[in-house]
Amino acid sequence: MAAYSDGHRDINDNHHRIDRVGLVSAVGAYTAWGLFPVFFKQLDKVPALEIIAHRVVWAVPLLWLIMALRRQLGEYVAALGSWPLLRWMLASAALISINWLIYVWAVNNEHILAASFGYYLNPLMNMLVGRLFLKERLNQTQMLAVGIAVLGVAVMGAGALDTLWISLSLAASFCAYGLVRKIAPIGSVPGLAVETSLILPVAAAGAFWFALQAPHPGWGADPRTTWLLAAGGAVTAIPLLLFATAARRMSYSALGFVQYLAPTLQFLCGVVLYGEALTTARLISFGLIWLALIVFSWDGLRRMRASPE
Amino acid sequence: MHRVARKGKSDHIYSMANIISFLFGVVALILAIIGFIPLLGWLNWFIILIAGVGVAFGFASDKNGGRNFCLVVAAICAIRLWIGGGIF
Repeated sequence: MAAYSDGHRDINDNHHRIDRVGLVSAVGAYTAWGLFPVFFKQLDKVPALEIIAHRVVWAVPLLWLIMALRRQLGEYVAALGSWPLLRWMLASAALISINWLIYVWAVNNEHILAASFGYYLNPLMNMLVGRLFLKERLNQTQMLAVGIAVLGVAVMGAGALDTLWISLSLAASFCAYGLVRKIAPIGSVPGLAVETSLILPVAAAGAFWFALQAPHPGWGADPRTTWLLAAGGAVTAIPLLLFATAARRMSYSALGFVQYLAPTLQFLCGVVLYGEALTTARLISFGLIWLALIVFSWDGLRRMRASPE
Repeated sequence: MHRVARKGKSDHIYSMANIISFLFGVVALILAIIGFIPLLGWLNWFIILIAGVGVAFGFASDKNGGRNFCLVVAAICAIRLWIGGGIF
């Protein structure tokens, strides 16, 4: 099924070696996500729900265009006609909506560091999910990395309990989204198009309702805000497109490895650009997560060198 | 995938797409009524997208009712947009 959209490759091949297109897509996606706070901060007067509504509304026509160019409209229409597949897509659409909403809210309410911590946890959750649902095996070094990261979460729970829910719900929703998308037999682009299409009536009605409120800081308040909201479509579609491509071409554990790029950039945005407080507990938690990352990376590199390709 | 889906419980699956197509058309039509208010013509840009997804669902079904209904709603939105120059 991966062959549908991703260059007619055998999916079995993907689990055994690093796929270059997959890796480049993953790096692109996580860099874009890492810089998301900068974009959403430009809209910090606008309600998070309105931002999400516009992200969906403007992503749909863009995805139609991309699918027309990639000759994937047939797969999109076929997916809309398959009820078993639509049920998976309803689930993934719900998960990604929750994730977006919490994330945008967190960024615009000075919780970028909590969001960043959530995305540091995500690779750990991916590893566990890969172990539990996809029968990917964890070796002892990976177990050690997971253990150190769990310690980091515990410290965060002890020192910054009020924002821990943001971190945990972001990590869990995005991990579950990745899993559903990995299971559902649909290509990256049509999959995202189906998800946004399913949410569209609610999103468009929401965007409508917000736009009709006056005076109101969102759509129509000034040309800059209006254009930024409309740009939310491209900002949504392009990185998620890259992620979805990567998710189908790389093993779940390998994807978890590149994933650290986004929270690192978010962390830097939070501390350097937006001056969020780095308390002692947070510093220890981040330190533990980074240590877990070093252990995990070292193990990954060692195994890459050991395999023939 | 198209062929695979048609083989099995095709009647159920394809009439489901037709029903969903009608639902998208109904939502679009209700919103289009608001879009007829003077100066709110630009709202039809949002509505035409909903009708568009309805058309896509309609194409997924082997029945044409939902698709045609959504095409009519999309046409109404297009005319309303044309009247208001896309904005008013």
